Amino acid sequence: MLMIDPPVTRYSPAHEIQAWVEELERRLADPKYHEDDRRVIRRNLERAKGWLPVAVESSRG
Amino acid sequence: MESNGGGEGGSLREPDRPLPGRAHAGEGDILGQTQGGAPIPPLPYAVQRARARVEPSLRKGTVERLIAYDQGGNEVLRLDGTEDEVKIPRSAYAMLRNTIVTHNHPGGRSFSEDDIITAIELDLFELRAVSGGFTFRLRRPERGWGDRAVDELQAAYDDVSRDLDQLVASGTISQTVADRFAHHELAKRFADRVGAQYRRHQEAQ
Repeated sequence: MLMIDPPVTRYSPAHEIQAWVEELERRLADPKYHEDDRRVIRRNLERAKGWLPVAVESSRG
Repeated sequence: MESNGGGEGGSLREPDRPLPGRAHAGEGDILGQTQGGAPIPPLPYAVQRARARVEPSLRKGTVERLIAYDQGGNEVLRLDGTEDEVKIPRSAYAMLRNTIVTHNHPGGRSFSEDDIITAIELDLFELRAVSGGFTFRLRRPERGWGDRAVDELQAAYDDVSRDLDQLVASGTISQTVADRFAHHELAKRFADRVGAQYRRHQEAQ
């Protein structure tokens, strides 16, 4: 079981969330993570991707 | 019992009184006070001594380290991770039931969603996270986590996101404050929903 402590939240700057998304995508492609871990990574990735439109909008506002 | 400093590490004392509910203040709670209801009953003395020995150095760590204790204060597991993750092997799942698990958060925030899911799925007695400034504690409800705890976590996430979004949009709080306290507010709201106890203690600097 992987416990990820994301360095960003829904309210972080868009560029930091984007960097986190890219990091999670990199981990997803890393064969050292087995399927249980990948499920956790995917959950975090989906969460972080969902924050991006909010963050981009906030940075424009 | 809680006032014994133990000599080797930090104080055993963990005040259970509410933190000041300074709405919208930088270091205060945003969505109501953290504490409600009865204080968290103290951990067994042996566990208090054990965690007081390790947490002071743990909170200075730059990568995550997780240590689990049984109810007798015996260390049953120690794992090292990276700056933002730690992996619990499947072989350790059974031994973690009813344990007190402490770990550090170099980033300084309260529990992540994965932390809370781990506490639920591995049936931890208490999960702790320590950082330079705070100690966070999540104690299992007396009746257990229940079958709906993960669903309640998602519901708490939705609630907190909606409320913080509104506060940020109205200019009541800054995005920076929401960013700093989003995990804390989530843990608080989750604990309320499932009957768990959650505390945040500010450490002396």
